[in-house]
Amino acid sequence: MNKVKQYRTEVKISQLELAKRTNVARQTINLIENQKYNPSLDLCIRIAKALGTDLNTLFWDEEGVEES
Amino acid sequence: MNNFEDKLLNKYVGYVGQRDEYQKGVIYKALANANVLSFWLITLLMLISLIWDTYHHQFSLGTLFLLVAQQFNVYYILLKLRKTGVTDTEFYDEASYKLQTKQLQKTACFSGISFAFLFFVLMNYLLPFVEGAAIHISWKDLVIMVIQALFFGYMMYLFGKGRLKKAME
Repeated sequence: MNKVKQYRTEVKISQLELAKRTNVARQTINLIENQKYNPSLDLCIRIAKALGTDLNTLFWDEEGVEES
Repeated sequence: MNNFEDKLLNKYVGYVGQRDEYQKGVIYKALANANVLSFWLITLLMLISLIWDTYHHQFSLGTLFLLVAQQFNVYYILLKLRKTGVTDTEFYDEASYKLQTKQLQKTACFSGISFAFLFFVLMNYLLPFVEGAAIHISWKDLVIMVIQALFFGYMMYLFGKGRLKKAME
């Protein structure tokens, strides 16, 4: 489960603005936020950069990681 | 995909500007589904056209064109995919490779028998029936069917085996 919506809201930008910054359609951002589309690594990096954060923060699922 | 095919696709689907990765994925999936459905539709139409031709004691250009369209579809996909190797399956141990080969033998055997049987029914029963000719089965027809089954089954096996790759160190 990604945290794109949460971080986008924190930096106060719209889906449209994020879509423009990452060079994708607004609908695609909406699908990613609603967990209906798994973006490519390239797009994940662009989203992370656009939101001023990193991949781990946005896409790492702590609950899914087994304790070693 | 090269630039020409990109432009062709753009005009065919009819969108303006660039599509992102999600949109491209959806477009490609729709096109792939349409292609599979078109393939079976062309095959069905070709069969109907062949029956129609037989009934009228002729061989029309339409049937030939449908055959060309169907074969173009098959060989285009085969050649494109063979180049990239995306349909190859790699095996990292001998046991799983042998198991897959045995399964392939069974599938190829079934394909050969089904193909030869359907062809036999079409050529010896259906088409003579439509044509109004007497249905006559000789030993020669049966031998031809067995040879067809062996040949087609073996070709399917060879084709399938070409996609299985050993990747053992």
